[in-house]
Order: sequence, then C-alpha cells, then structure tokens
Amino acid sequence: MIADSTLFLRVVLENPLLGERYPREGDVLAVLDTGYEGFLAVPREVFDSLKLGELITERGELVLPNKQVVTTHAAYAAARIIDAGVLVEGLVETFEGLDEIVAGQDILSSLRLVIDYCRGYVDVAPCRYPL
Amino acid sequence: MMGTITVVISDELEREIRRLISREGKAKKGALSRLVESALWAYIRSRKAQERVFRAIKDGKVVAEARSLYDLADRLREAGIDPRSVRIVSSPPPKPRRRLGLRCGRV
Repeated sequence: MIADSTLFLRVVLENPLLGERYPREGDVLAVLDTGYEGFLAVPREVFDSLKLGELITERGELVLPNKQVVTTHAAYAAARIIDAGVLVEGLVETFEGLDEIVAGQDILSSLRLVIDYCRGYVDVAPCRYPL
Repeated sequence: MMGTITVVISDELEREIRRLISREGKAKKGALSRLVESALWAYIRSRKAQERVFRAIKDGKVVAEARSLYDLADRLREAGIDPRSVRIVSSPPPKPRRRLGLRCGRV
C-alpha cells in the first residue's frame, strides 16, 4: 500500500522457535526500503515482543547513508506478507534509535511488486518462475 | 553427450529470442540451443541460490538442520532441545555488514 507517498507492506512477524507473533492480533505495516540490504529491521520493543532476545543473537553491522556504522542484534524469524500470501524467513535485526519496521531487499527478493503511483496502488505477489 | 528436448513457447518469446540472436550477430547454427542452455543454467543457479538451510548448533555441533525455521523448531522440539540454547545459522549466510537505505539515515 502507499500512504503519504511511502510504500508499505502489511506483515505479521513470527518467531517459530518460541511460538511468538507480532502483533498479537491483526497485522502491522513495514516500510519498504529498497536501499536496505537486509531482511527486516525492527524497533527494540518489537524484537523483545517476539522474544528474539531470548535466543542466541548474532551481532551485525549496518552502514548508514552517512557512513556511520551501527551495531545490531539479530535473530532468525519469519514474516508473513499478507497481500502476497507468502511466508518468508530471514534475519531480523534491531538497533538503538530505530522507530519503525523496515523491510529490505531480502524480503523484496521473494516478491513481485508492481508500483503504480498514478493510481496510488501496489500489487504484491510471490515470485513465480520463470520471471 | 547432448540431449534433445522439444518445448513449446509463445510466438512473442520466440521473436524476442531470434531478434536477440540476430542483433548480437550470433545467428549461426546452434545459436538458439546455446542461448537456451545458457538461460536454463542461469535459472538453475538462481534457484540454487534461493535454497536455504537453517542449522542449529550446540557446543560446536550441528544438532538440527532444516529448510525452514518451522521445521527446525519441530526438530529441536522432537530432540528435546531448548531453542534458547542453540545458535542458529543459515546457509548461505547473510552479509555481515549491510547497508541501510536513506529511510534510516536519521538514526
């Protein structure tokens, strides 16, 4: 969906290892960021709500556009892309100061997106081969 | 050894393929076969790149392995292993250093 000129995906986040889900009911919007090379970046409270901090987390590094490097805590989890009816798995990370859920290239690589800003709509579907 | 297969493709795709071969000056005998072979290998490579395996590691040993986190969770449960006690890795691994987009430039 497009809201205020920004692209969003409706998602439900899941931690299959501990049986947690975010949000508890319904879904949540993740901002699409094609410049983000990861899977999902989430605020700390979302990470904690999924109990990802209870798993053994990986440390990673993210390079911001201003070349600043921030350290992240990350764990594997799943994201259900509501509009595409597809479940994708990858590394979910968090870092201090992040205040929104950001979906990156690792999620987008599973999707076929048609963005029509003229009509203000986005068609989201799973990849079909051959493309 | 070379195999022979018969496939049916749309007229549109055939026109595009023949136009591509002609434009690149490769319109010699076997050009179409070479292009199809190259395209199929590219497709196979892209599919293989998408095949992921998750492994749970405990005390340096792989204690469970699966193609999805849900299957991995099942295997750990069956083995009576607490998911909190294992390190989970994926193959292929994610990039250790990733770039963020402009969206998060203000962090």
